[in-house]
Amino acid sequence: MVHLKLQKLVSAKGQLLSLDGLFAILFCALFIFIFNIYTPKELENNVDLVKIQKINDLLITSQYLSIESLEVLEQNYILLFPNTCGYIKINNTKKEINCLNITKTKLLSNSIKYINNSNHNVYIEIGVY
Amino acid sequence: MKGQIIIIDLLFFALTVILVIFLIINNLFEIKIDDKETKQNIKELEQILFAEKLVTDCNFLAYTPNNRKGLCYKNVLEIKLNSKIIKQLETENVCRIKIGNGVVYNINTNTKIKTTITRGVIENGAFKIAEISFC
Repeated sequence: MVHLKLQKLVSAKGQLLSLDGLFAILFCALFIFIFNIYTPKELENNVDLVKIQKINDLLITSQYLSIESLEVLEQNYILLFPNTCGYIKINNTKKEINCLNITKTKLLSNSIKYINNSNHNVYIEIGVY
Repeated sequence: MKGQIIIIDLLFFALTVILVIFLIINNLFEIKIDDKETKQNIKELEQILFAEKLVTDCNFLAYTPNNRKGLCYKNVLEIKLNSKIIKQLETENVCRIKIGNGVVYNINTNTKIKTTITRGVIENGAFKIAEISFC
């Protein structure tokens, strides 16, 4: 241990602060800084990715099967999201599912618009909290 | 007075050294935990992407109409488990694929299922749930 003699700051009240201690604090701060720089950041939440994939599954399958009934889409929603609060919307009709007494936070949603066999525009929107 | 200053100085230095060592060990430990979590996250992400590939890729289970090579119907499945797909499933540690109530792929091992990814697909003209389980 290198001890630096007489490198002390003495205040009027007798408070002491040694220079080697000060150097050690600086050394400590440098280490904290370096380690904080190299700490890997957490990846995006995979759960959200799975949720958005499932929403897209519902939309794309609804278009393929020409689903225009809220009841049929609700059944499919419950199969994919048995306990997750969310909503389904076909044209102007909206229905919430599994949302009883649940606080809604962080909405993930997507929509699709297509022309059905009868040449009518169909708009489907699905959101999951 | 000089002796007291030296003792206080030594004490302060010793405390600071202990603090530095504690911080270094603490940071190294945290980095190790973060590294483990990151590896776990990457593994999960790989499984999610593999499940996506299974239901969307022509070379896997996505439906390809006859004479229309390269055209895939996303989420519309055609069960075609050839040796190439099975080999890939083994590489990715997939131990079971269930579509609706039917099991289309299963490895009879005693390995416990760790993760199951569910996707919405169409098979035989109906909406079904595809369960891809990883061991």
